[in-house]
Amino acid sequence: MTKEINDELAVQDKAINLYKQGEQKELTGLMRDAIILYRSAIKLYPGVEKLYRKQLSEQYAKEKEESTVDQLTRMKLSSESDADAEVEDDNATAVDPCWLLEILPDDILIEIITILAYIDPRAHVSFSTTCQRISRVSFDPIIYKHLCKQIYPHQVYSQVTRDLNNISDDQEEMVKSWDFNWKEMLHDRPFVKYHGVYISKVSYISEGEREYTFYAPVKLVTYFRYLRFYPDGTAFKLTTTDEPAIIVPIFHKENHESIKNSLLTKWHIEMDGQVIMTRKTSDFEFVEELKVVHLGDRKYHRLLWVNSGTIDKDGERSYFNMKKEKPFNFSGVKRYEVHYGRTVA
Amino acid sequence: MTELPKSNDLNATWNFVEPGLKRIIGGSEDNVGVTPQMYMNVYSAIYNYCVNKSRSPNNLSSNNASQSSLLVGAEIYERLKKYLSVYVKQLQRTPPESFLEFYVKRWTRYTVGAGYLNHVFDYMNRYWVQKERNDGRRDIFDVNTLALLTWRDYMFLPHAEYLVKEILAQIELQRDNQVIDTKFLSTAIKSFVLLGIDVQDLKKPNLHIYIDNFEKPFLESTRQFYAAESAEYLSSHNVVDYLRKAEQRINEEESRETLYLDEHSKKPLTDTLNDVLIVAHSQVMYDEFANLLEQNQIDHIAKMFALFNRVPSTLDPLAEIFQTYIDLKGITAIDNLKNDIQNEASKAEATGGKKPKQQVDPKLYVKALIQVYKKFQQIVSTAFQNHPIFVKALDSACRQYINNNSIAKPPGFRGTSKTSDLLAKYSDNLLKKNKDADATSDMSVDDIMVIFKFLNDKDAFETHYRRLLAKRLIHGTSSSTEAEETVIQRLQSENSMEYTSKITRMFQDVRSSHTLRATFKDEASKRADSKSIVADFEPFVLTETMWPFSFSKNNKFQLPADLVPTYSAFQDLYGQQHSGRILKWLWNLSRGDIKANLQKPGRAPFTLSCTLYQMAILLPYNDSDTYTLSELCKLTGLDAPVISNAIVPMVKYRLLQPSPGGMDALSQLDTKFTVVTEFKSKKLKVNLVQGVRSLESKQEVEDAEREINEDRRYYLKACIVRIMKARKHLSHAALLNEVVQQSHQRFSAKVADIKKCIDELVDTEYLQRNEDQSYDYLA
Amino acid sequence: MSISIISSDGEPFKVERKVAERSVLIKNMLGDLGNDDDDDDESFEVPIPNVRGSVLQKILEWCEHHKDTAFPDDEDDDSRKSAPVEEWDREFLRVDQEMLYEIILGANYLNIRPLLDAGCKVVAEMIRGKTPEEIRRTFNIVNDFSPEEEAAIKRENEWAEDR
Repeated sequence: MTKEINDELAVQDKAINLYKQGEQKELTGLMRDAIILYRSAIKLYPGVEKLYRKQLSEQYAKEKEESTVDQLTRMKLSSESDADAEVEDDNATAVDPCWLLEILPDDILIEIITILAYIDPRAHVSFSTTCQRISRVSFDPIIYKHLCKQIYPHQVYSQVTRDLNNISDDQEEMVKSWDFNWKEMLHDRPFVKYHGVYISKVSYISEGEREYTFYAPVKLVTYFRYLRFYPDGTAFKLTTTDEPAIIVPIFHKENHESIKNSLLTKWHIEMDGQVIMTRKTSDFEFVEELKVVHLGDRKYHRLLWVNSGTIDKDGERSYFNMKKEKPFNFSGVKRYEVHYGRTVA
Repeated sequence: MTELPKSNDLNATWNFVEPGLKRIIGGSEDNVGVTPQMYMNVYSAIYNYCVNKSRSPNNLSSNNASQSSLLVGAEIYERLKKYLSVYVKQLQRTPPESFLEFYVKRWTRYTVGAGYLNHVFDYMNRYWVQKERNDGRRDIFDVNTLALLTWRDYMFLPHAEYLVKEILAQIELQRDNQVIDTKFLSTAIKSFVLLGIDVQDLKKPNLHIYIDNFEKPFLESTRQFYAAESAEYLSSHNVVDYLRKAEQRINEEESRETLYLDEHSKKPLTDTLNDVLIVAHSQVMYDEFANLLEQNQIDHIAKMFALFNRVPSTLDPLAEIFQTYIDLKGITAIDNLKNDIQNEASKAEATGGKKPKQQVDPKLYVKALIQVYKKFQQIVSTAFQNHPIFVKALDSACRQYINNNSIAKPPGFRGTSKTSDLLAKYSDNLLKKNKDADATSDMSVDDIMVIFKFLNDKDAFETHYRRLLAKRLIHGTSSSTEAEETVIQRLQSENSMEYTSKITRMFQDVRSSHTLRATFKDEASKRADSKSIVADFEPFVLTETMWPFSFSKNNKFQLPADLVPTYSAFQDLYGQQHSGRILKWLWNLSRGDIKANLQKPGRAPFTLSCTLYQMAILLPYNDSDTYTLSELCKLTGLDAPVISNAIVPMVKYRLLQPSPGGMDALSQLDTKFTVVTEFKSKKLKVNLVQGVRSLESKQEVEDAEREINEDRRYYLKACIVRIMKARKHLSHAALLNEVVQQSHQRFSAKVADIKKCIDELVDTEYLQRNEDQSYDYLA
Repeated sequence: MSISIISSDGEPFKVERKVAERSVLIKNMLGDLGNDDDDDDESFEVPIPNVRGSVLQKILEWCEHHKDTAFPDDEDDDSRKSAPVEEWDREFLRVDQEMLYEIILGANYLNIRPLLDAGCKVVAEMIRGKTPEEIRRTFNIVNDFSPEEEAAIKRENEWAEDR
């Protein structure tokens, strides 16, 4: 009997070890290795996770008993601040304590970060890289929820898309399609960004006149396409050889008159990421179809060309040659002010 | 202050918190209430525990830490959940309290406690529960909801049926007039509503538990109870009592509804009651209705109406019975009148008098009709509150009996309903100058309009009315122009301008004639022979088609010489004013006054009012004392019968003496008539007009009937042509339909007549009949 | 009616009921346990085991100042987030970090939503516009990432900068 118990304990230990190793690998960013280790651990003993955690919390509890983190006890024993169980070894030295992290629980940190994400997205990201604990709470599921609520109500959909997909401005309703996983919705549901401009740079070689047989003069042509979206369904576009440094600071649709060749169009997005821009003139309707996709970790940072063409008065379609064209990449511009027309819950 | 447990120690925390929970939820033996200390302690312990775990130390890897905080929050939640379920499960009734009492008492305490618990666990609600629900765990709830769900699952659902039974028993006691604790019931029933939690949307109130577990059985038992009670009651009481009982029960149930049932049950309860108390017994009540009408029990009828009005569909049979009854009453009233007339006639005959004509007195006839109408109109307004269905029933019934009764349409009679005629005569009586004021005191224009509204043959009425009006106008027997105009105006507003157009024209003629009189007087005085022109000559120039008089060309009447100047003068004047118009003189209608110097000298002469014909007969007596009938014929150019008729009143008044005497002699050609020089009369003014025997009346009636029929034929033809012109092509049935509809306002057209008209139009090539029984319009 | 609020270190504070009820916790408790008898002069005692005197005093000062303020509905997330910090509140919260966090924590414990919001906003503004190193310096945060780890996290989260 005992042998069996012993055997089982041995297996558990082995599994726990594997698990611990996997953890280490994960911490150092070696995800593939970590996964292999985790898998073996679980294969060996299916309940290894729970067991490990239990072990840890017992261990932790024991450690804690000597030096409590209790606010109450700390208040009572205010002089014993040295002995507090903040398991940050650094704190044992004479460095000033980090009151923020000592006093406030995660729940409140999340509140602060919610506000931060709203008022300064960059600071939100900066904050998230300051330490492990903060990085964890900075992207708690609740934060994703708030991000979704900031982003999706201001996206512009066509009425047809709205009806077909039951799009509601209430994100609590929408997230049901992703099983209440806000992070997943933010990842899977395309959106267009407003605080900046999408820029596409096209370079090609244009051949010059062949005067001599042994060298052909060539010219490097570079031009930029700029695209900026507004929450009221209008978009502003420009194709020019002028560099971003010149264009970006003045790229507002109010400057439409003063920026030569700039154009105003209408736009809307579909659930699959297709962004459709239309512009009507007296003879034609210009229709451009693009698609937002992820760029590495950057969500929906890139805009790909699908096609571009016209519809004439009889409904005939014709398409332009897009061979030379390049995708747009988003470039955030802090200075841009965005006015959201509708107030959404 | 009690020392709080270590915040990382789940067990210690729970052990610390549990006694407090006990007190809060009501499970402790002692009656000590919850102190602020205890409240804050429990709150703080929970708070510390949640916050501590939320603080999460850094030496655990990110995955595990968040998982552990999840786990931990869940553990307190699970313990609480278990605690509540254990508590609820062990609740037991302590006799002698009934299950209902036990339930309500415990429920009340429990809900209060749950509210406290909710506050004490506020921190967990605010953060952990929200987080879980946010992440999709819809099976995690705030503490109050959790408590309610626990109660629902362990106390309510297992005992729901029993509880409902007890509640229904209580309600039945109350129905038997026993006193019960309504607050108890109300709380118990409200718990059903509160327990209907929609886990998808906690904020939305949900009645499914209330409806399924309580409302359904309640409605069922209510239905059974009242079905039994009402059946039993009706078997031992009469209908009138039942009406009262039903009303009382309904009011009771409705106040019960507001007292402790949920708003949702209002309609189903009303429907059930209506069904079981009213609809189920409607036949019995219908049967009684006729009796109530007979006994004129307006209050009871009103009660019955109030009941039936709750279920509008039940009103129709009632209205039908009502309508039939009114019609019957109307017909009977007229039958009675007819019998009375016949009896009078027989009585008169029996006493040896001549058999008088069985004339129907228009006044009595109209009165009889109106009485029936008024009686039931009152019932409609008081008992039925002028409900449209009953107003309609009354109207339909009136239309029926007023147009079709034993006087209006005696058996075998095929003309238009006599009501139109009788009504015209009634109007005549009202509007004529009357010596006897009392005769008209109970007549009114309102009465005329009431009957007029229901007339089917309005065109017949117009014809009759116009005929009588013409006479009044000509002979000045109208009591007042205002009265006449009032009637015309009302007819106009009731029907149309077009309807009274002829009559209006008649008035116009009278007015212009009046003007003409003044003008003539003026002109006449300027003429050479002004002295021989009658000073107060009153011409009536009538537009031929408007007036119901016929001009007979064969009239060889000789105008007396004394009157010729006036005649010529007027012809001249009129010819000047309206050249191109021809005047056709209606001698037979003209009247005048003659002064007879037959008095003893010194006294004023007699004034004899007579017709023109009579004048023509009398004037020759200026030259001689005696004339034979045939001589008179030659002199006047009138036929003997006409003269005989005219002479009758003169003989009667002993102005002329016939020889030989006797009534028969009056029509003999060689009878002599001598003027009586010592003519005596009590009055200075003698009216010879009245006695003129009128050949006309029968003739008139026939004429009128003919005129009506002719008019109708013209009207129908015009109607058909108009319709076909618009539609170009129409089937036989459709055409008939259209015509009936359009003519309805004037009279009810008979299909046979319409067919005849169509045939005539086909013959005269206005229409073409096709093979499939349809018609085309031929331009 | 006045309430006596007793801090964790035994210090009593006597305040009007209206002031104390800015704390939803106290409001609920008074509603649940207290008698509505306004004539009850005998002060109702509420022990607060988790907040010490100096902090409680500050918090009650805020409650007193705002005893008649009408705050927007709790449900409206957006307006709560975007409304700026009132000038008086800003001045009120100009204290050392330790006290600031104690106040926030106390407000959280006592369930005083507007004060909690104000505090959080003040902290958020301390973070605003700063680089990670500046943030660490402001708050004395110890960096427990290796350089590679830090770079990885930055890469992982960078997307959130763009909206």
